[in-house]
Amino acid sequence: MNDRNDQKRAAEPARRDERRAAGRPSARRVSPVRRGQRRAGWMLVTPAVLVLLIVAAVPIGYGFYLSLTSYNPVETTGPQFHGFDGYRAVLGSAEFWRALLTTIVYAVGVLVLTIPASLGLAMLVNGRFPGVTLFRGVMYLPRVVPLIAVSMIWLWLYSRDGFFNYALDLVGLPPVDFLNTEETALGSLIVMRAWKALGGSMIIFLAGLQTIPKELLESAAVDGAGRWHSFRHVTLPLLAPITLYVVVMDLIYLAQSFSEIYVLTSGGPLGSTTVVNMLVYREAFQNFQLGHASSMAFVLFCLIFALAYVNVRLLTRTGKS
Amino acid sequence: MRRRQWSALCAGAVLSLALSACGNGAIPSAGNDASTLRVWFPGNLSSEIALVNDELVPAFEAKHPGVDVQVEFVDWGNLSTRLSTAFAGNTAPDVFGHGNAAAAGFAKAGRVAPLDERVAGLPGGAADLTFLADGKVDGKQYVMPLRGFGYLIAYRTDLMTAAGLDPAKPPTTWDELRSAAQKLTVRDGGKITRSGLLLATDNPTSMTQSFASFLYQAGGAFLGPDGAAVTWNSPEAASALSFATGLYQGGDAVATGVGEKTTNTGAQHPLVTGRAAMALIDDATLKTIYEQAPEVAKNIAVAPATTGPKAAASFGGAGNGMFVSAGSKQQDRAWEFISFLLEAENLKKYTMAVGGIPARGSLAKDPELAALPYLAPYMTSAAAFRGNPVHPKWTQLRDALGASVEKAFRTPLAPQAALDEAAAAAEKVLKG
Repeated sequence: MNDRNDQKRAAEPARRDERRAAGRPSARRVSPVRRGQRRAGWMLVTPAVLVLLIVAAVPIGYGFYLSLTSYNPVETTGPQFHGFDGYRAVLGSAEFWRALLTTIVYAVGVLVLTIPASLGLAMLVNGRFPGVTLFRGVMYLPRVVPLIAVSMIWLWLYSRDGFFNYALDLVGLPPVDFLNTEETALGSLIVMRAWKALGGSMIIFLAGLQTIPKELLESAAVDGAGRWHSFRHVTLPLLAPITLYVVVMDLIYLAQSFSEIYVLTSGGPLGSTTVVNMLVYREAFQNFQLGHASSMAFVLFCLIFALAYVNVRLLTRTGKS
Repeated sequence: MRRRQWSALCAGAVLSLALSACGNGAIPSAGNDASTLRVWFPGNLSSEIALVNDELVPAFEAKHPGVDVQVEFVDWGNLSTRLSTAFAGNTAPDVFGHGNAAAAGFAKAGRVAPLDERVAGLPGGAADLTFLADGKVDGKQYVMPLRGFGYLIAYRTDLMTAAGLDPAKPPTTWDELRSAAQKLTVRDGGKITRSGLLLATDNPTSMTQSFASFLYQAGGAFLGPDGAAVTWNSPEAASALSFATGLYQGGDAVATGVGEKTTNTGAQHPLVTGRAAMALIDDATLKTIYEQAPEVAKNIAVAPATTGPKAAASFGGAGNGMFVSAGSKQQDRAWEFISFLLEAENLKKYTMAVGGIPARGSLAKDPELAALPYLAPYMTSAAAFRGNPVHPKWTQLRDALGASVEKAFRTPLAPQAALDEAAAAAEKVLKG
């Protein structure tokens, strides 16, 4: 067998020379079977590629074109090209930078609550105790409930006569205007969103925990490591790629937040919960300034793209290491 | 097919898709054949949907054989989004409902048809139609209001009696209002536990509407007559905002809870829970109180429009009305549908189902409508209601004003300074 392969390898340069002499580069020569496979491959991916182009690439391209125009869809004049004026206006707008800061505080605030809590929950449900499956299901429940529905429920929970104020009243504390003061509105939104995100992150961490070889933890125990040391020096390092994935994906997702803020505070009070997407919505669909709104959306898109890029780079590096 | 050919094909597809998306050519409206009339109603109120689908549309279709009215109810929150995209794609309905605040923008863009000639030809004339003036842009009629709304002071008669006030003689001037509010306010130490007089302050827009009531009473206006400049920072306006914010601020404040949601809160409204004795309240919210807390509602009465330094007035006017798309190929039929809705009998049914002040003055005398305690006082005061200016950039101007009015309500910023700040922001909008 090996001899035959050696003979083939030895004969290859000669065959290549023959092909060159015949004017057919070797790379171009493809067998009919291979050609058929390629054609089938293209036919199979074409519908998906077309759908991707239609629902993603074309709207993104058109959105970018709109960001270079002044466009009010109610007017009949159509988009008026004005180059990068829209971007200059966005970058020079104090309102936009304030909204961007609010978006960052909101996203980071949710993560600060979600990551440790979901990791703790994942460790809890990774164990075996009666009803663990039900517990996992219950903890995951908020993830599957639509965000709008969750927001409506929390709107009542936070209201002046809602559950939280009722509970405060029971313990003799004064009521809190959770969504109605600059000091508490953003924090209240963060708590609600963290609660919603908890189950999803928990499941990802749980999957990560279940891939950790038990032998490693047993070895650590044999070496005298207690629970904390095992967690600190074995579990956490092995969960690093998962943690990175959860953090970056959640950041990307949270940077696009809109519906829960629209329902709970509409960006108020005094603009303290106005995130970038609220501004985009207001400009596009209340003021009909679609060009300006598109410029804002693309600045936000660039930031999210940068986050996604960092994610890919970091994950690749972590994977290699 | 070779790779280069595939690439060319894909590029062509992308290019043609992109170009078709960029195009602004005429696309025929869906279902826009000769027998189909497309109508969008704003909102998703079940009683309105039932009335329109089960009664009004079948009755119209019976009167106009061969006509198929396709009605769609579009949530208020999505209405502007849907309409703007429909306009851009030339798929707007033949008839659509919207608030009159949108009229100026649509009219300026040529998206809606003027209706003056058609109004003049209405059987019985237009004299009985109220709120018509609110639907005019530059003197031309573009929107036909179906109903109106308004804000009036509602008060708890039992709490008034307990405070030694006569519920039959509600406060009618600023001084009386302030004095009654002081007597009705309950404090626990330095904290207000029951507001004497609560305004609608759910969000910057409703704060602006509350401010508008006092602005009109003080003889002020939001914009000059030609709409070219704002006048909301006039001395009259400053006095109106001082009065409104003074209810919430300072040692003699009579209200607490700026920003608390009160609109359409029904049984949760502070008048019901007892956290307020008087409140500036619109007819729709009062209706929800009657529906959800009828026992407490028995003790709620409504005062006539407050008389300020210059006038007896309050914020209100035309609510939603109907427009005819300028691009509709069935403008005659569209108008027939609107005039059908405006018939007294149909307007009465509409008002009974949806609420609001009927857009026909004669209906104020209808025994059934006049017997509705949450509607009768508003119908009586209809002439005192004044709405927002009809201006193509009103939403942007209102946002600028709302941001500053909110500051005046929530922070120590002086009313005059807040209004000047809003005027400066509005100047940029008007110039932009």
